[in-house]
Amino acid sequence: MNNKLSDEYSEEPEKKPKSKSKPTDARYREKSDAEELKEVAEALPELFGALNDAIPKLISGLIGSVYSPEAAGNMAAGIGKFYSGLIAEGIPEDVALDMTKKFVGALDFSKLMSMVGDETSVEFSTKRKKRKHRDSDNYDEDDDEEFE
Amino acid sequence: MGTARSIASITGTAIGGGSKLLFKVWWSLRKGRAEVKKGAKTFYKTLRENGVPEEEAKQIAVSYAQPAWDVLSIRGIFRLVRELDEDNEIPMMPFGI
Repeated sequence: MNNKLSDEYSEEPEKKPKSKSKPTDARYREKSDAEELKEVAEALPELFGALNDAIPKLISGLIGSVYSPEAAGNMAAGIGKFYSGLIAEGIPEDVALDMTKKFVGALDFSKLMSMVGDETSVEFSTKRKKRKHRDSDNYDEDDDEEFE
Repeated sequence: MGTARSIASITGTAIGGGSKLLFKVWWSLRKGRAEVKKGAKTFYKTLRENGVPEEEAKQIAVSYAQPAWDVLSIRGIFRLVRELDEDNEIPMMPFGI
């Protein structure tokens, strides 16, 4: 009888945690979802702030490097000198104009734009890769903390 | 309660931040177009100063400004962003691109 009682008493503490384990898991999950949402809510203004800074800079950088009055003047001066040089060398005006048009066609401004775009994309991708690397490092650290 | 507050905060930030972002992009597009116009004018003037005939100078200045004019629109910016997004991480379906 004593043995039975002692067995019952000894089993009780083992059973209680089993019955309690489900609600604590649900509560933990709820808590983690809430925390995740809180994290998103906190990170979102930062993300918008970064985009607000980055996109106007990207556009002004892209345009400023090729289409600023200085850059335009230099480019046009190059083309003009090419044309005036041809005329000075005694080439007929029609032929000189034709050659200048071909020279401008070879410059291909859309290619120039895409080249500048590629440069900015390289800058952006390196920044993104660095950020990704940092994020993955943080994630690993979090994982380590969880496992510990 | 905390979850509801977080959802409300996310929604509010998305609406407010998205509107601000859209305005800033539109404003920088406007400024960019003005810059391209100025650049094209300088380009044309310099060509004329170097003796290039009026009609040809106009054609060359237009061909110079055209690529930037194509990029400086909302669709052009989305195209640019898609080109920058090498890993195709940004879904472009909602924008119909």
